[in-house]
Formats: sequence, structure tokens, C-alpha cells
Amino acid sequence: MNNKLSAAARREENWGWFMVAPTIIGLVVLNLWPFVQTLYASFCEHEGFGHYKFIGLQNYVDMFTNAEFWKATWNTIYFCILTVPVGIALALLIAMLLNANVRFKGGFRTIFFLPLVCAPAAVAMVWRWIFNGEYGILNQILGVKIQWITDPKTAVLAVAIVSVWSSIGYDAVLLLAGLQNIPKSLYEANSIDGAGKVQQFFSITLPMVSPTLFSVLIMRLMASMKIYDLIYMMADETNPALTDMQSLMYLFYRSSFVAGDRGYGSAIVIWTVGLILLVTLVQFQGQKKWVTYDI
Amino acid sequence: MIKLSRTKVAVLMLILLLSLTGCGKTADGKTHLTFQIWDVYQRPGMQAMCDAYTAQHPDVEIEVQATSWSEYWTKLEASAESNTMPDIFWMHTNQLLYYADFGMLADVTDLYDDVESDYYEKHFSEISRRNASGSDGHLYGVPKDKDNGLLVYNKEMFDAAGISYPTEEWTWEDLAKLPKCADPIEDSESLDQDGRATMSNGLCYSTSARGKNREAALDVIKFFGTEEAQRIQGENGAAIPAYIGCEETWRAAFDSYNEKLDLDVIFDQFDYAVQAVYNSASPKWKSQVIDELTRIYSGNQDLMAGLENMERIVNTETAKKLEK
Repeated sequence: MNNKLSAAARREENWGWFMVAPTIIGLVVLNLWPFVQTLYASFCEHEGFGHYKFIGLQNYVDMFTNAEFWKATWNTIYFCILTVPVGIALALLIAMLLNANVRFKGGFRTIFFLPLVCAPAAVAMVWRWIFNGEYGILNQILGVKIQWITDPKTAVLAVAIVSVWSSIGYDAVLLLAGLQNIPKSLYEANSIDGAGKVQQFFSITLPMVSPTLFSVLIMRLMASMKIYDLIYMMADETNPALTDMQSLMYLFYRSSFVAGDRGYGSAIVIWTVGLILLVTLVQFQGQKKWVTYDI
Repeated sequence: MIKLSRTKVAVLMLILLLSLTGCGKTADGKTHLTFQIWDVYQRPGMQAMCDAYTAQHPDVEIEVQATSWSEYWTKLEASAESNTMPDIFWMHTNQLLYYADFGMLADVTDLYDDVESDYYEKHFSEISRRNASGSDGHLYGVPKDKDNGLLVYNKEMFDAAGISYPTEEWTWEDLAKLPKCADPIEDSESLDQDGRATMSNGLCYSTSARGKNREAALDVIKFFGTEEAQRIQGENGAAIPAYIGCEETWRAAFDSYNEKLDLDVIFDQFDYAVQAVYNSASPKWKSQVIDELTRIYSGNQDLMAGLENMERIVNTETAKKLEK
């Protein structure tokens, strides 16, 4: 204990610890400890019902020599490429439209935010019908006969469309908050100087909203790398395109919970965590080049 | 700022804790059992059996809980690990050896000793009994039902191709003669003298080896294995009862429909059906085999190469399992 503190200050400090304890305990019990367990399990073989046997790096050897694993890694990266740039660009566009002087602004904001309020399972079910190759409305409108969810070529794209659709509202609201923090005077001064709308976007809007954009980017990329629920809901176990669309997290689910191979599943999780860590580190390095925190 | 004394805070926390753990126990003095199944369509049949039991045992209440197939096994394994398994649950041949060999299931070999010493042998087929047996030969579940594989065909496709419909006399050879059909697999062991073959599988009712309500649950599954309960199961159309002599009760379920199905085929097939393929490594190879089958059905894999892959998958996983 710090002797320099007065009795009152120390009491206050204790209360501080007391107040943060629920969060800290929750974090340790629900996040940190399971992570340590997962790390340990990735070096073990699961013999059944929670009995683990240490086997060293065998799971990692099996994993890196497995074609299905590399396919899942690629699927995950491909999914990120499809969802993150497009999703964020669209979200920014919508945020800017909602920030402009349009009628029924409140109504539009509600509509764009609506997908987030819907249960993901319900969203996936509705989209499955939209994508249905025989009777789906999408094929009716386009006048084509694409088996969106069961064709290996389009399966990831189909999931990506649903993902973008359901996350766009949330990102747009965050970006809208960022946009509203930009002082109007900047635009006024800029237009007096004779700048056009496009120039305004690149010289004022983008730099000013960049901190929000950065956090949205980080969150969206992490969420996309962990994609699981949409695939689980949209693809059945007997979907012929399953191996062409399964993400790392889906492969983890199948290994750990369907095949009961929790050691191998844990190794996949550790690999995914490593990937996310790498990508996030790169982003934090990269932000110095484009994110402006002060005017 | 509101001042809270330490005691006040402690009391508050205690109340919170109690409110968390307070639920669960009921004060009506009855034994409450849970019965977990994975098929919603069989729920009415299972409920009817439970109602028949509780009518004779008013001090017991049974709650039938249905989930989906894939969730069922995730939940059951987690509950087995934490010793909070449902009191009664269905067991599948894919998983039975995994659970039984780990000592998770109650041994029910002697369950009917007070009734008849050869109860199982007398009332259930050999396939039914083998489907409920662990590696040690003991029974870990009371046989529930039995099924077998059928050939279903699309009349429109046969019409379009100008081929006459399959008949009861058809053998696997005839099937293979159809255009676009693969050569029959030459495994005379699984075919009978008429060139016919099908597989039969069946479930059983099990309870945890270490459950809190073990004795009560054992009494319920003992009832589930009686002629009375198996008859109720059949009449409700849940499944074909495993109990020999009750099979025909299942026909009643189709009475209300105008479209009459030819059910005789199913009953005739039990005479030559062989036990469905499974071993203690089934949970490991099953999903990989399904992946391979899906590739064959979707035309992405050649049949023979796919079958070879399946054989390799099953052999590899089984060898890994046996090594231990």
C-alpha cells in the first residue's frame, strides 16, 4: 500500500478498485482465462468429455498440412476483401447523405439502422429465401438462375452481401456522429475560398472523420475475420459449397463441436487470433499516414 | 453522494447472489425429470408416453425438451462434462460408444431382471440390442425404435427418360443398369440371396451414470421399454417401435391421410436388413464422410474415388481411435 496517501485518499482508492472489480473479474473469468485454456488446449488432444492429453505441436502440424484449413483461411481473407472496403465506403456514403439536408432524415436513419435490430438468425433465413435458386426473388428480378448459396463461385459473395447489408446501418450511425462533429465553419470558409464539393470531401470531410473511420475499420475487419453465425445459418451441413465458403471460425466450430476435436479447433482459434493481431498491428502502424487526430 | 456502509453493501451483494441461485427448486414435493430429444415431430409421441407414466406415478413430472440434431450433441457433451445431463435422453448409435466407453451412461443390462431375465433377448432384435450396447457388451440404453433405408424415386424423371418405374423385384443390379448409374459395388456379404440389401438403425433411451435422479429416470426408461409404452410410441407415429410385435402399431399414424403409402416394404425389409455401420470413431469420421458424399452428389467427385476416400477416412480415424 502507498503510504504517501492519506487515509481518505486510500479509502477512495479502495472504492475505485471495488467499482472496477466486476468488469475486471468478468474480463479475467470470461476472456483471459478461456484464452489461456484455449492456448493450452491447442497443444493437446481432446480424448473426450474434457480430458486432454498433451501432444505438443501436432495440431499445428496437422493444421498447416491440411488443404481444408488453407481454403478456410483464404475464404476468410476473401470475405474481408469483399465486405470491409465496400461496406465502409457504402456506410460513409449513407452517413454523408443522412448528414445532408434531406427530408424525412429521421425516417431514413431508422430504415438504415433497422437491420441491426433484427435477429441475425431471422436475417439469414430471409436472405436464404431471397437467394433461393429456384424460387428466390433475386433470381426473378435479375432473370438469371444462379444457385447463390450452393454454387462454390457465389457462396462467399452471397454471405458477404448479407453481412454488408446488416452491418451498414451501425457503421453509418458511428460515421454520422463523426461527421456531425465537423464544424460547419470549416465548410463555409472552404466554399468562400472557392472549393468544390469533391475537394471539400477530400480536404475536410475525410481528414476530419478519419479517427471514426479508423475505429469503424478496425471493428469491421475484426468482425469479418470472425465471421461464423451467418455461414452457420445460411449453409446447411449438406451444402455442396460448404468447404468453399467456410471461414476459419466455422471450421473451428466443425472441428471442435461436430467432430469433437477440440485441440485441433483450438489451434485454428489461435491461428485466427494471430491473424487478427497481425492485421490490427499493421493498421495501427498505417494509421499514422492517414488518420488526423487534431486539426 | 450516497454513503453506503460496508455492511449495507455486503447485505446488498448477498441479496443479489441469493436471487441468482434462488431459482430451480420447486416446493411441490414432486420429482421433476427432464427428457431431451432432437426431433420435434416425435414430441407428441414422447409426451404421450410420459403422460402414461405420470398417470401411474403422480409424484413424478417429466418435461420433454426438443432441440435440433446438431445442437443436441453439443449440449449433451457439455452437460456430460459438467455432470448436468438431462435425466432421460435419446442416444444414437453414432455417439453411444463414445459416451458409454467413457462411463457417462447408466448400465441398464439388469433393468428388467425382476420381470424376465431374458427380457431384451425376447422382445428386441439382435440389431436393436447391438445398437444399445457398449464396447463391453453391456446395454447402455433401452431400445426405442428401428428403421431401414428405402429407395425413393422421382416419377417425373422416370417418365421423362421413358424408363419404367422400379418394382419390388428390383435388386441393386437392376438399379445399376439405369443410365447414369454407377456400377454396383461388389460386396456380396451385404446382399442377400435375392440381391437385396438395406441397413437398419435404431435409437435407445439412456440416462446418466451419475445423475441426481438416476433411480427415478431408470424407472421411467424401464417403462419406455415395455410393450405399453412402445405401443403408444408407434400409434403416435413417432417411429417404428423396437419392441417385437409392436411394429405394426406405427401404421395407425397414416390412417388420417388419404394418400396411402406402401408401408409393407418397410416391414419386409427388416427380415434382411443389416446393422447400420458405426464404430467408436464414428463422431470423428461422420462429418468427413458426409462432406465426401456431398461432393459426389453435387458432381464434384467421381463415385469410386469418393468411396475410396470415405474408406480411407473411416480407416484412418478408426486406427487413431484404436491406438489409444
